Amino acid sequence: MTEPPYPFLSSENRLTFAFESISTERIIIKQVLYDQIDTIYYNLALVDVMSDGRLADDIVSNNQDMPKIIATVLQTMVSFFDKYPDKFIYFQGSNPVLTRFYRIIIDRELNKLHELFWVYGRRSDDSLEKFVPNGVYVGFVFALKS
Amino acid sequence: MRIVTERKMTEKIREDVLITRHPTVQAFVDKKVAQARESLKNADLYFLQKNQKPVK
Repeated sequence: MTEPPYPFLSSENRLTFAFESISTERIIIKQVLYDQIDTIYYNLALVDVMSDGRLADDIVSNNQDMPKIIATVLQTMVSFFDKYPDKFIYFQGSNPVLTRFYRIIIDRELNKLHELFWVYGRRSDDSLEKFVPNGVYVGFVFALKS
Repeated sequence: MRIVTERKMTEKIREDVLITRHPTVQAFVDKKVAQARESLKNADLYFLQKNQKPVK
């Protein structure tokens, strides 16, 4: 996670963030969205902003900058937790392939993530456990280490 | 942690476009949140709380 994040813009309530994913081919505007699930959890969604306003988080943009995107999303999480330190962030892929992809990224970055966050995995039986590399999860929970 | 990158962004992208959620965005997110709410209704929150220990 040595890749620097993209510059990003934040809404005042730290629930909507936006940045540009830049390659030599194109620029894709992405939003990172936090929405309250209940009194404890906030859902995290990463979506592309289409020119006509439509969004999708189930496509792979393939702008060859995933490490930078991940670094940026993590910075938005830090910003979110600055304002909501006692909340939990939950996210899951739109499909099993994306969820597995997220799991692989967390696997790879776990040591760095543990410097800032508690990381948990949700299994298919709804049980939660501390994230274990190569664990089979259907969702992920992050909490701020204080 | 202080975020120092935000000001640069305002110079490059129109803030009103990016930070305002398009209705289709909100509809999409609402659906995601409903799915997440359903997914988490049986999750053990106590597990999370009891496993948060001070960082050494």
